[in-house]
Amino acid sequence: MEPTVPVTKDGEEHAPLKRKSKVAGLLTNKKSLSLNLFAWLFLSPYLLFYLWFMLYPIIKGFIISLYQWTIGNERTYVGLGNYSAIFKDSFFWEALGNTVYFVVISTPTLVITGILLALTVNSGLKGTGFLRSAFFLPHILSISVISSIWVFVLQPYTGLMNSVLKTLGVTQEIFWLDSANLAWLSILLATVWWTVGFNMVLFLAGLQEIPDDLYEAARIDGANSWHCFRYITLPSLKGVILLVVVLQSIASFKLFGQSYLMTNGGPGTSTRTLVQYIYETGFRTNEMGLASAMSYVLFLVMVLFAVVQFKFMAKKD
Amino acid sequence: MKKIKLVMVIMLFVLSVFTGCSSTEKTASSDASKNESGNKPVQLKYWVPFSGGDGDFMKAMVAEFNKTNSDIQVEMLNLKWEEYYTKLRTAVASKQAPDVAVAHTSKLGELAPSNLIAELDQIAPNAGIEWDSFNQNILNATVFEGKHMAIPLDTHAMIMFYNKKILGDAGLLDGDGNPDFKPGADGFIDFLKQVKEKAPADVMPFVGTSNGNVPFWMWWSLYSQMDGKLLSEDGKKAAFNNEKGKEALQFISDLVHKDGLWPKNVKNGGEIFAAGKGAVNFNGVWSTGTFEKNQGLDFGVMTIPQLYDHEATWGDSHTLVLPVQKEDDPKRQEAAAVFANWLAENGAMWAKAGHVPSKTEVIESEEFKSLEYRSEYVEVVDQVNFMPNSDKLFPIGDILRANFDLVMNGQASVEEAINKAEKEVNDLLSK
Repeated sequence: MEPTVPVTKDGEEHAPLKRKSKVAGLLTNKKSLSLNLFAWLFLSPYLLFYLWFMLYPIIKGFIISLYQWTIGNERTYVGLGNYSAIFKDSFFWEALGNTVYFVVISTPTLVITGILLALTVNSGLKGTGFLRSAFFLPHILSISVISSIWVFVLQPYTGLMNSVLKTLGVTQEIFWLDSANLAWLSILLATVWWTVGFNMVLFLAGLQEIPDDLYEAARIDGANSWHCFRYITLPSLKGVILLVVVLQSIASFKLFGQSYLMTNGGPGTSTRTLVQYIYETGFRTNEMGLASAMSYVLFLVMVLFAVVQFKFMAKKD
Repeated sequence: MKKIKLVMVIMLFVLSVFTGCSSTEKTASSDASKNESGNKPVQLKYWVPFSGGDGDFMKAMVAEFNKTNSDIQVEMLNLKWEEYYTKLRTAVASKQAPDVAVAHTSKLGELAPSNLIAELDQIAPNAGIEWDSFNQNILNATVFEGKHMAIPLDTHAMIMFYNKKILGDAGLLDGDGNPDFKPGADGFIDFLKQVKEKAPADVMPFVGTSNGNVPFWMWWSLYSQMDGKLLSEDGKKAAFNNEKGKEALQFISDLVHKDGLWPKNVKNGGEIFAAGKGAVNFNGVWSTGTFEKNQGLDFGVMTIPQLYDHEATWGDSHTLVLPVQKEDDPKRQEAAAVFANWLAENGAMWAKAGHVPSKTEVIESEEFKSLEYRSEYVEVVDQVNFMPNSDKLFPIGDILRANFDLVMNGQASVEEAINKAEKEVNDLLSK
């Protein structure tokens, strides 16, 4: 914050060379103070909310995870007892396994579908404006609406899907939500329909950043569409792809609404995700400490995943 | 400097907005109209978890109460069922609880030991509550260690709905228009087999949603007919892994898998029955309110048939509780109890939603008897076998539902499901 050259009244009048540094000095001194203040002013509403609703709960959550606590009752300090209890809980491992399974099946699906839709919409053909809205539209609906729609479509005997299949000659009733594999497929289908529009928009922004002259030059050199895609589009989208993959896997780790509302974690507990198990532990069984500890384990797993992705994918640059 | 001052002013303004929001509530009620006696009416906050029709009926009751009682004014807040108890619990913990709230009898085992709700024995006499006037089966389920913890409003039980047209066409109704079957489990199965034989092919002889609550409530109804127990006396162990528990679940499983009377994996049992594609449906009393709105549906109701030793069914109650406040205000508590008692006394209004009133005199009133269907299943007030008090009753239900679902979709045998559920419940209770 100290000006590099001391400024005096004399210096101002007699040394034109020093004049420049005086201005610079003022900037870093008085002006920057007020600029900083303004920056803080603009930041303060968000910062206040961030500290109060993000940072404070995160710290508080960790403290709670060290206690055995039901809201309304006294809490008892148990140290890392909740964490060791989690590691012995087979339901926790099952839920974590289910969650990772969903991350693995959903992330590639949603990233690739997102790119394909963005390419379609970006092709400049007729009707792409309509398609762009159509693909994005489900994203603005709430999860309860999305789940109701899909249960309505997929339910046996009266559902839309089976009725259509019946007219196509399928005689057997298909139970989309009642075997683990089909249930996952249904949840994936609903998730893609709901969220792929957002990925598409990100990719679309990336595509529109690519200068046209690159394609022009390639065409002159005799490149076909596949070459253009492989050697221009994909490398240019690298940054966006990394971003989408990381955002998508974090979102998939947090899967709750779709599986909770479509299958309620069933059949049995085969589609119960970690977030649902945390919810049940916290608000059905009222074990706040255990639930907080599980949240922290999930948090660590997600951090680990994100770090690996950044390392692995950014290395190629 | 001027700018810095401006910044400070804006900061102060921002801060005052954040801190100011807590004081607005009190000023809002200060100019409320005075009643005849010149006193300001007591303002009560009232929370309910009612979706759909229930919410509208309760809203009408609160409006009626506010109109007829000038001393007490009630403001109702209807919350989503899924988050209701979480919010109620956190509201009590953060000392912002409503004055009076709806709670299910099955939830009292969780609320009472956590000191979230006030005991009512001191308050009740002043508010004119006469415990004798309630049905004792319903009332007893709300008493903890000899203390009254809630004012019951109703009971809502599992009952049997049947399609009169389908059964009539198949010649399976007796002279009085009731379903004609012989007593006992075999008699009921034979009856459904005849429905399957004689009714059109697209009609389901028995229908209900195949996962979640319906199999669970059905199992509890049948198990209760054999005097089965859910938990041990001390509430620390599962007590349902026995012949009776398995027999009840086997009966349900056979309906689906052995006899093919209840199609597999139905997701919308009530809707299928309402659409006239199901002959018999086990469902909650509140479905009466839904089904009777269906013009084309000619249906009848009765209590769950006695398949085993005696009549019994699953049921729960809506009750009114007084959440614990920052500071006890006897006047407000008394007003809240007066309101709760009024709701119970006017249970005939509430019965429009399908629920059975908790007060004997209401059940015997002309107003209640004039409602169609309700009198056909009013005996449930004495048949309901409430689940035992446990602060883990909800998660125990989650375990049973998840395991019964596996029986229902054919992934587990009765034996496997009951064994697994017993182990999981014991693990839960030993935590």
